Amino acid sequence: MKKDIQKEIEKTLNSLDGIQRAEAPAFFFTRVQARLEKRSQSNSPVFFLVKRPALLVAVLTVFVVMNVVLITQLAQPVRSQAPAVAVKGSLQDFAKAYGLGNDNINY
Amino acid sequence: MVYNTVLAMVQDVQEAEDVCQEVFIQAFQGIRQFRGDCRLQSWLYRIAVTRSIDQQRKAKTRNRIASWKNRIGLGNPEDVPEVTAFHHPGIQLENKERAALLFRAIQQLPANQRTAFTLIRVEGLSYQEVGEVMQLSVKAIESLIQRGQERLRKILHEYYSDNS
Repeated sequence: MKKDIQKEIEKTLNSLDGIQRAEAPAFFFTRVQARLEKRSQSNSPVFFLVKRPALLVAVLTVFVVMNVVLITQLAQPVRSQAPAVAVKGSLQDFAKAYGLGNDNINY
Repeated sequence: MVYNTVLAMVQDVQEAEDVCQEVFIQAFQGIRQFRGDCRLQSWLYRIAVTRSIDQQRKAKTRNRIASWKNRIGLGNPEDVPEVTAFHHPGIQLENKERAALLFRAIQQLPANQRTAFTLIRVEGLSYQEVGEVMQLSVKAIESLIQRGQERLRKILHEYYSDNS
């Protein structure tokens, strides 16, 4: 009985003798190539953003906020006139102080 | 060569193809990191073995979670795959059943013994080549094979004792 079990064990251990190599399935390398191409495509910057919707939303939000800030700043022309008047006044003062006014010229 | 090793390690045709594809993609993307300190073939075998062991680990975890879920009544019974006999396509017909039994026993070996045994007995590599793949000395490989065979004998002994 014990001898029989030992025999069976030896036979089973030797059952891999003469094993042939398994071949890869048909079109295996075509599939590998397709997978490689797919991966290289998904590594492009566009796919990088598409794969991360949170990042995409954040980038778009920053873009919109920057545009809104820029537009609101451009839509305030009144503020820019006040310093011009002040500059004009100070120039006249400067001309008066140094006698550069038209009234002082004698031909 | 890669497919044969992966198939013997993962023991599932569909999973073997997936793992094999991953091996080639990893090799293609990491070819610049290949330092040339071993043969390209050994480097490829190393990737194949590592990937196969990872895959088996993931599959085991997946099955364990599925069976836990089933036990507490949350899972789907179909998620737990049935243990089916693996028939390697390169086995001679008269040895088919015995080889299936041996492959099932090999699955119970620790990862390093399983790797050494598979590379020698299925892939037909020499001890030195396996040492290069596993980055171990020839003596260490011999020891792994010896311990692996002892363990296999024990597993098979239990099987035949229960079924005789």
